Amino acid sequence: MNITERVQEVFNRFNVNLEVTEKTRTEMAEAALDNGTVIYTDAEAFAEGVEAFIINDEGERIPLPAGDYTFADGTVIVVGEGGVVQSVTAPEVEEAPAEAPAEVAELAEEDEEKKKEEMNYVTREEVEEMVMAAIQKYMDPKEEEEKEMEEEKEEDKEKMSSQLVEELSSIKAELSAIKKQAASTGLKHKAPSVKPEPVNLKNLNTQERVQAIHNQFSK
Amino acid sequence: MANASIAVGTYKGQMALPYVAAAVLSADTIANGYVSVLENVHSKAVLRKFSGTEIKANDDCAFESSSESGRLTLGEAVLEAIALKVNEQICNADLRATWESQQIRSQNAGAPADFTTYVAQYVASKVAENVEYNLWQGNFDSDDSSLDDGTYTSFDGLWHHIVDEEANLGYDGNVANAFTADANASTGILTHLDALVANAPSAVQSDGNANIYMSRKSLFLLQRAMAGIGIFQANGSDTTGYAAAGYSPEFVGQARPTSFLGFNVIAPAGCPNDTLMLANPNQLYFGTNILTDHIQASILDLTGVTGDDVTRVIMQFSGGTQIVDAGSLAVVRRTS
Repeated sequence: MNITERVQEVFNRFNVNLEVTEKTRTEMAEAALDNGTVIYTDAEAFAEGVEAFIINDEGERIPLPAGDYTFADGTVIVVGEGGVVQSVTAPEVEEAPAEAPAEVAELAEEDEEKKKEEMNYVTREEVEEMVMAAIQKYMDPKEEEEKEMEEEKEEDKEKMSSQLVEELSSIKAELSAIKKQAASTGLKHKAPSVKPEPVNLKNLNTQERVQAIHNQFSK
Repeated sequence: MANASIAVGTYKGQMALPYVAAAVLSADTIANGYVSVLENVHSKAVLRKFSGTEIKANDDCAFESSSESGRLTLGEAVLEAIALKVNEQICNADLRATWESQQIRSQNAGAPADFTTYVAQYVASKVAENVEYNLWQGNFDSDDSSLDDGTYTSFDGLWHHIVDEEANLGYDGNVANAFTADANASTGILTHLDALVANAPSAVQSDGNANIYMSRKSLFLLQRAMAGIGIFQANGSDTTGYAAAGYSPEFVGQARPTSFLGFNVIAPAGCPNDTLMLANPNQLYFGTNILTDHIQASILDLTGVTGDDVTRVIMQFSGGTQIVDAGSLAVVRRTS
């Protein structure tokens, strides 16, 4: 399934019907300056007394500041206060071959088509890109979730690593503090107590046995 | 030196143990373990003995009653401990000098620091000697093996019980006259010892723990016989037997014989003369109650009571002997 079919499937699922239309401004005349800026006028052409302006991205009209402007074809216009054209100076026209007017007409038509295309607010490619983004979002939500989980895991890892680093640093600080402490006195050696040996009665006489047994039972 | 003031003391049970135990356990036979000792006999003690031929092989599951031949049978011997008492009066003057000299010179490190204890220990040593003699020959006369003319009569000794069981003895060699240190066929100590060992029951002969018990006089005679000193020729021409052997230097002036034909020779202080016994110590028992609460010791210095410079020592305990199995004993004794 190619991308077009996938897009159409998504559209059918969500009942999305998109139409691409090209809007052209037939009421305004436009011209390109030598620097590429396109200027406009409500008149059919740039002539003395008409207002020249540019259109920003928001579609707002901004009058041209006073000054001289040169068109791409060499025409020079002088703009006064309020963007009013004060004069228009056409460029030197050179004799062109017989085929030149046809070429000029074709170029003019091509330029006009280009202008129309450039005047569109949303192009086909842009729509496709938006649709693809939506498709990606709805076709494979798991990937998004996995991405989010991975991002969360990475965030957790970063947090854990930072915590471990903090704990390690605290442990090192404690260890260094312990090392700086004076050594303890340690254990004192205690001499083993002398255990009394059992008395061997066999080698004693009666009197000695009596004393030994008496002492043993007197303890 | 003025006499020290001695307090009167009466001790019972555990408190009397140092005095009574010293008096009983210091006996030569008990201290050296020549016989088996029971120290907690209240009145009587039953000594189990096994008699019979053999233990039958366990080759079946049947239980056979003891009436059948070959079965292991049990017998018993009762050891009865007789209540004994000691009543001794000691003149303080007789012992005080000895005690003081020991204290001053420090001759005896074990001598007690007080005179009363010293007197008690002195009496205990005498009691130990009396226990020793009664243990072997209480109510027994070694001259003729009679039971009523004995020198010591505190309680029946082991030889008294041996004579009581003479009909069941493993070997009972009766001899006339006292033992001598020669090769006389009827009186010679070597002859008697040879007969004792040769005629003993086979179980006793093969018992590696069996000992030959004899008196110290008999041991002396044996040493003389072994040394050849006691071999007196009846006349100059008599060259038979040991008379021709001459002296044996190893037994003259050296250690006494400690064994005979592979059996240890033991000479307890209280063993009667003219008697020989071959037996295992587990067949000979002495019982007493010194480890019970029924003993008592009193030491009374009457100097401050009646004015007599005497000390009375009173002890109460019990003692008795018994043989387990007469058939496991071989004896030679004088009967006339």
